Amino acid sequence: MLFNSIDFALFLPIIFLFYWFVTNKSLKLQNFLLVVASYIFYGWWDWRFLSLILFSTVVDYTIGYKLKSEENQLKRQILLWTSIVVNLGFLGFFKYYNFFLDNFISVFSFFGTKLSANALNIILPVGISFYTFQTLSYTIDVYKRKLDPTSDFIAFAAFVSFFPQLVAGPIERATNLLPQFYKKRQFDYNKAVDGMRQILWGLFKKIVIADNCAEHANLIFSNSEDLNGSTLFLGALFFTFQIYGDFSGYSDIAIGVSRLFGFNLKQNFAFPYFSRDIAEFWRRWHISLNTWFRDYLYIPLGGSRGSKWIKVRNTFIIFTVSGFWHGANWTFIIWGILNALFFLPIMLSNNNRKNISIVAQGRTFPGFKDFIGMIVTFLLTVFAWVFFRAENIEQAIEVVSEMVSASFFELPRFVQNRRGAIITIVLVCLFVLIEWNGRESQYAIANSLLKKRRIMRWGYYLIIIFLIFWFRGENQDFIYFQF
Amino acid sequence: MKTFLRNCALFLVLTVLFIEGITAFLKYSGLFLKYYPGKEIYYAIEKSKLSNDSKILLLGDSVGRQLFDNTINNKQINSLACNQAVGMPGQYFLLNNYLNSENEVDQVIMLFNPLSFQNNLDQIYTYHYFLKPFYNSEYTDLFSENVNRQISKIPYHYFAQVPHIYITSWAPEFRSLDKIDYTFLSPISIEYLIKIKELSSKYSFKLNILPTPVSIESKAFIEAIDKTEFQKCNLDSEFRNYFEKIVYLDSANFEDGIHLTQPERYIEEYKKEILLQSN
Repeated sequence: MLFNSIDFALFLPIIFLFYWFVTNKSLKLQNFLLVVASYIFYGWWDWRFLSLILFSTVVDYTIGYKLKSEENQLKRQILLWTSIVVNLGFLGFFKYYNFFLDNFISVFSFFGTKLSANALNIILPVGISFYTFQTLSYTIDVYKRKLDPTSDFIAFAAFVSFFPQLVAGPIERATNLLPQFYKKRQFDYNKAVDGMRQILWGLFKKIVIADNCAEHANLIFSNSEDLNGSTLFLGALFFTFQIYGDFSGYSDIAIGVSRLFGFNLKQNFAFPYFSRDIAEFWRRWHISLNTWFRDYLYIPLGGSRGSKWIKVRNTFIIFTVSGFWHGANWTFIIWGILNALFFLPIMLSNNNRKNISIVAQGRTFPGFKDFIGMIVTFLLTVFAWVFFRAENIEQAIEVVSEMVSASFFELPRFVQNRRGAIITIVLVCLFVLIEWNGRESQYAIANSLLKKRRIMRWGYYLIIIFLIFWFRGENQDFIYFQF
Repeated sequence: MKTFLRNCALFLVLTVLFIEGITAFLKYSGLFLKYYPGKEIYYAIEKSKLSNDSKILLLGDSVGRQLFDNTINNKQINSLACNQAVGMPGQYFLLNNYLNSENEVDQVIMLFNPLSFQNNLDQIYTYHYFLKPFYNSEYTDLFSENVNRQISKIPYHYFAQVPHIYITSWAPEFRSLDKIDYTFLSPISIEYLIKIKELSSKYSFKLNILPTPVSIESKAFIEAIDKTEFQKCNLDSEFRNYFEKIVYLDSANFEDGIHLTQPERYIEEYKKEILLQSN
């Protein structure tokens, strides 16, 4: 079920009313309702894959439970690795089987041995990368004794399948989300209103910004061989805002919906395009995934402690794995490596924690140095997104070569729908202004006009709704569903 | 909780009023038409209600409109050509409007690609191009049982006139499951062609059906058409020379297999043919 569908518009109020009016007397019943709702939400797409979620839930619940009483370190390790192998096994099979098979055959062909193997027609279960990492965080935290394993199966099943963030995150840690299922939730008016506001902003990001940008980015990337450098740069810019609007929009809706049910999810995007260096960008982009990698991969590898070589190795590992997490294609791996290359000089010069605060905090405009830092960082990310968006490495190289050629200084050539492209650019500019204005909040419109009279606030929301209605782009799937 | 639900309900009502208010204004002022897909239909409807001195009226599909643009005032041939998606009922309504506006006409030319007659109001375009302009009190009395039956199969057909749906290009996903046992004339096309023929007797005008140029790639398909279909429904005289007059052109002359890349090359020829027939 998509957040921006009529199905979800009907599903959400029904579950909300049941949750607060029918099952509100019993915590168990409320959690059970969330499990049922989450399974309906997921099964709406393909009910067959519910078995995967259920299997993952049972395995990790059982392993967590056994870890509680097991004192033998070797047996504890075996239990942990069972969970890792089962979860990553599913992920590896569904997401990476064909990639490894193709590359295996290519390597043998390179050395003159011809192998033939049939690729499997595998459907990638929506959100598998997200819920796999979420359940893994539970087992690892229980293993490390950071978290008491749960004995409440329904609460655990609700934690694994919690529908607002099941298919595209944020990837919640068991330490943050699971305890919320143990406590009785009280309806909080301000929290619910804030949730609605965040849902509205998420829908704007997805339907107006991401879907409109997608139309033009798709057009430009699918005709890339015929277009000049400036048009391709424009295409990369469209994709830059498409992916941000799409993914952060989804996160906003997920967080907002969770708030309606009394849950607090962690912020997943903190205005990343206003970052002053790449290190800051990675602290602000897809925060839940990056902190996951930091805590469960980077730090166990030694993090930024140790020799320069260790630091370089760990940086490359984490960025490459992050790239590979996004998809089974070399374009994602190159995207990860590029980001590692951008990050390394900052880390090696110990400047990776230089820009911690919010840019231009308490001021309207940034200082000159901050401004230059923001522009450079933004352009580096645009450059890297080309690899993320391209169909293959060859296309990415062609696009980049054209972008840095003399044709960059020619006027952009619109493939079609010039008027639509101009309107989209105006909408993106408006969006950037609103985001800049709200960059000190959890999301851009969190505090807008809060101190003004209701008529002003509601007028503002109605304008956003009108923009969504009037400038909605052609419906596109959420990009991160494929991850 | 009560305050939250009350405020949500109030905000929802305000949102509906706000959106419907603005879109109703856009709908009734006609401002929505500036960039609207299908605006040619609304131009044709408006034009069909105006008085005109031309004695030749042209109805047609989008290829017909490429040859005789309905936004250009041509004193000899008054074009109401718009889009095949309106089906023969849509063409009939335009003609009916025109005749009811006290226009005198000697000849009605119907300029259509052969495939346009297959439209049985069962297309994905039917919602946007037929229901939105015609599913209203002005035309529903002219709907046959067949038309009503087809409409009832289209999801959300009863929302077509709601302003915020009307002024956008939104249409529900619709794939007809009807069994097709005709090759050329759909049942609804037959029904409304007969109605058009009846008008020609009533108002004493000559009815001529002409083909637009067709891609050579469609030749085999068109030659396979069952020519007895129009004989069976008493439209033999109208279609007698239709197939003989089809001009087959190389596929390079078409944008998408249907629409001409350079329609201006054929306009004079068609004008001559039409004027010749009227003499």
